[in-house]
Amino acid sequence: MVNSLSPESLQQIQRLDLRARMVVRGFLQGLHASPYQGFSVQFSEHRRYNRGDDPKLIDWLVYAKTDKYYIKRFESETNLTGYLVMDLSGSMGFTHRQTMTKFEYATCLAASLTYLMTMQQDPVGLMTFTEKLQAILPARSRRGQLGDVLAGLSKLKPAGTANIGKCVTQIASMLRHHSLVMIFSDLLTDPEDVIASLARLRHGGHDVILFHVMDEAEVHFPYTGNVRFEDPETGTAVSVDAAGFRDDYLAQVEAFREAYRDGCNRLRIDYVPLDTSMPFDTALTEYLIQRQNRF
Amino acid sequence: MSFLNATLIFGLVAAAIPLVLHLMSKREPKSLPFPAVRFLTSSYQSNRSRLQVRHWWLLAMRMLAIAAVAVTLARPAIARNLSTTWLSIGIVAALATALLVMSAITYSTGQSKKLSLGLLAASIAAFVVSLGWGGVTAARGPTLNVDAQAPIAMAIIIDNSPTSAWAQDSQSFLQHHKTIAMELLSRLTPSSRIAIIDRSPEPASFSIDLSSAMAKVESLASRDVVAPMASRINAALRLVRTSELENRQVLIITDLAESTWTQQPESLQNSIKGAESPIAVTVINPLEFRGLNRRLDIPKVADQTPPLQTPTPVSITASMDAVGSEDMLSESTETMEVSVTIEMLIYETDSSLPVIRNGELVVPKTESVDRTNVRLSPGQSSEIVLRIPPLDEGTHHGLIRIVGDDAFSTDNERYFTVNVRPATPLLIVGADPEESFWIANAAAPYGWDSSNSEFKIDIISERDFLAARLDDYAAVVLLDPPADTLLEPMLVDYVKRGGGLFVCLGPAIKEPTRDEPNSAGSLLVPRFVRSWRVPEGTFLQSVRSTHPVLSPFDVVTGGVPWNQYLVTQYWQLDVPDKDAPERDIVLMKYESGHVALLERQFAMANDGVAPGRCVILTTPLPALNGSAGKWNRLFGSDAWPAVALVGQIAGYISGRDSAASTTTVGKPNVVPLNLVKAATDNGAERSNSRIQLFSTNSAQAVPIDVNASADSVIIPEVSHRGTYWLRGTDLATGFSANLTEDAAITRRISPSKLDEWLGAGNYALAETASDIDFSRGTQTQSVLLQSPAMLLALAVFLLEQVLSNRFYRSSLTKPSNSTRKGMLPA
Repeated sequence: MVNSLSPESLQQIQRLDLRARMVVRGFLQGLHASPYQGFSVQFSEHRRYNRGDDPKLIDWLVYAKTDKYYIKRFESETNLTGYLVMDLSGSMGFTHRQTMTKFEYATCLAASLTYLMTMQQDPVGLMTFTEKLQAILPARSRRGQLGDVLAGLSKLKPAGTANIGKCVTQIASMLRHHSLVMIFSDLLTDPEDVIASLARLRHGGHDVILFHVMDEAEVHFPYTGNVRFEDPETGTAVSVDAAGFRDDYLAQVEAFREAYRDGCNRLRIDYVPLDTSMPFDTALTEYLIQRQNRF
Repeated sequence: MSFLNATLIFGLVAAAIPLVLHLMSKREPKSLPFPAVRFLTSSYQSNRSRLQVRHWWLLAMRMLAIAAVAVTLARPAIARNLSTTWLSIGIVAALATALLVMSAITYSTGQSKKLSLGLLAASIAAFVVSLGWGGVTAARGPTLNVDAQAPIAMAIIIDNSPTSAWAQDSQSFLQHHKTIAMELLSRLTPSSRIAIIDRSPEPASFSIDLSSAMAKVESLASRDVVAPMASRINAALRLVRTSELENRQVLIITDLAESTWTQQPESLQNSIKGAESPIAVTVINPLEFRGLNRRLDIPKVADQTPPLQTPTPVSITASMDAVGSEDMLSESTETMEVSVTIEMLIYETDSSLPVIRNGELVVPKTESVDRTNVRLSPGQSSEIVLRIPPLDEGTHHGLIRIVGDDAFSTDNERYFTVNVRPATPLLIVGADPEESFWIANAAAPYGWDSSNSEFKIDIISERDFLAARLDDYAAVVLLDPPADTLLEPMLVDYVKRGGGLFVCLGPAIKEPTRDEPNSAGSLLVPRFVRSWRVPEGTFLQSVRSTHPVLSPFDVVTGGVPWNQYLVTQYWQLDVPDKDAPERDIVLMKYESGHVALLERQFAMANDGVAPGRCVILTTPLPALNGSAGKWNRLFGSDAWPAVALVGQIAGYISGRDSAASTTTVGKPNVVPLNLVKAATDNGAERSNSRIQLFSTNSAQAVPIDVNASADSVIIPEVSHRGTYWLRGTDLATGFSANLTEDAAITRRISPSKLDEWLGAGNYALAETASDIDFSRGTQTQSVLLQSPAMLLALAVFLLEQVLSNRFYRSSLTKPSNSTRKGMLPA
């Protein structure tokens, strides 16, 4: 049975809003059976007034209708501003199996998160970057925001090179309020720079989730024979005997991810290593855990 | 170093295939976009060198695997005496390989480049040394002729002695031997020199070609008369050594029977080693004797010239052996008792037979005349007496056989021939009639006056001797004659014309004096020296036990007790020199060394008439009465030796002995003809005539031309056991021949005995034709390296597999769960 949240099945749905909805609904359905049962980000209730309750909390509208004291809890109490930071470098456009590029995967994930957040009335903003920080959609929680974000995402095309460190630093200096910054990138650059810039972001009081999106082929290296590998960003080319290099490559990738994992742990940043063959619920779960930890 | 299949060494060229493929398959790599190139470039250099080393190793392994297979198929061989050198070369090569491996490891692990290069240089040096050394050794070493197709000088000795007739599993040993010989011949190339040598005394020579050698093997049959094995081996060795071919082989296919391998030769071991080049000797013994063998020994006919219509006893020993090693025979076999029926057959007398009719020998019918049963168990023997029935005059052939078959039928039949003759006229001349009766009774034990007697004896006194017609008698016995009688011309003439004479000297002869020193010295009797008195007594001693007169005494168990029959007086004779025309053969002597019994042989007369036999005893017989009675006690109580001696002498001088009528194979045989002449010719002159020899083993009659005056015919060699008939005009005689008892001892010799014969290490022992290594015969013995080369090929192939699998192991392994687990909260 095909997993309804798998990238392959979702890829068949072209409209991004439908995709995001599918992801979130499927995810929420799945939550009922999950260990996180009972947790909800959108909750408000009316309860009979008891002694000791703050009289300021009495909902006078209800009193007017029913002539009984009710108090209303948690309304508009939380307001998490989220920013989706999309890496728009050329390497994000890579796909080995010609099904879903890293960027498409990241887009789908971002759209889902946007949908989820707007359902909770959280303001969501969108930023993209290559060498510089590019499009910026300010974070809003109004009704049309979802459509704007999704439209913005669907227009994006990865190209060129990226400078993550510089752009993240720029974001850190831009954001005033405490925000949740969700970075979608393949992070193919020097980890130290990125971690240094992430530290600045953290220092600004922002929460960060780092979605490290890699292609399935980049993680498992399924190549054999003599292959000439070309970096689409830098143009660097290497001719190797793929099978012979595989072990070394995998070790390198693991070390690379480990470097990010260590750095993020130090900074209390959530690091989510992903590849394009993984289901989206993993990514969403990570986001929700982040939310839970905050409140 | 040589190669059995030298052409296959060109398979080494195939070792270039991996190299060619490697070079050809070096096409441009496919180009792929890949963002994570940075992970490849970081370990690119070290990885690339390691991979390169692996690549080269893989290529080397593949080439080496193909080369090793090619070398294996080419079946390399090295000289045995150079095997230590080759081993050393191999060790150097292995060292070079080890250094190369170390160099590769240091290079691929990125250690000191100097160390890597140093090891590489050392490895190359070691390879060069091993290659150079190997080249020099191969070039200087002896040329190995290990080619299976190379011609071989080979002598195959096929043992067709009587024991080769032993049949086991419905096939005789000889058939097995021939099968093996044919198998060996089929392995040889047409240009080989082959000699098929059997146990016949024929000179050893190479066959013209392979097919004639095969034909000779086919024609071989078991022989009764065989040349000694040592002489045949020597002949084979000499023959093979004359060949100019390098590979020289002598193969001996034998049953290892004791009768063949008993007498140990002296110079055989040196002949095998040879002064220059040794010859490869292989003894092939396909089968062991196994089973029960019933056996008859040569029969002893009591009287080979029995009188008319008198039954003659024949004693024969039947025995049974359990043959084979102990583990081959069950216990029940060793203890079982078998009933054995022994039968005597006599050929009927038919004057028209035998004859060759339509190319086949037709012999007279046989008639069973006696039969007996004995119970025998293994290792036991039993003496049986059968009886030849009363027969008519003439030569009669017969055989004694064990009824039924066993593994070795050769010794189940024995043959005999008797000559039934009419009574021979014999004259006894003696002073005392009583003594003459005694002698007459001794000469004719069945009663000298009966019609069935061997002798028709007339007894006369000394006085009547001159009046007697000696020509009427076949022999004359003179008991204590006076010296004058011995000088009688009539007597001398009688002996010269073929009459037999037996003289017992005694007191009637006067002591020689100075006046008459040569008393009685005559043609018939040597000169008397003196008469000796031995008061304490002396006795007769046999000095020529093979003489027909004494030969029956030879088989008496425990010997004849002559010392119980003392002689106290005898005549000393002056036995003349050997140059004298009369030849004296001393048959018996006294203790003092003086002659006791003498045969005097005379020269052939000019007219071709053979002289008679003359036997002289120097003490009187029977010495019962008168003055002669003091001379000896030979006719004392229980005087069987003296009686038998008289009977033998009477038979001998009258020509009734015919010892040759039953003989053994392998010896010339003299068949007397005069006996028949006397009976059939009636005095008429016989012209030169042709007689024919028939034998039960041959479908051809052998013609023999006989001089009219000849009284015997010599058969040069009796080569087969069986009955032989001699037929001619008015002639029907013959003889029988048996295998000697030691000619067929069906016991296998121990391997140590072969070592004594051929020398330990000088020969190889094989059981089948396929066990034989023809390369042993080459001057330098080779060691086949096929198995080590195969092992090397296998090892290299496995290494190649391991290396290539490590190299190309499936890269599509499922991602480990650790990554995903790591993302989940604890």
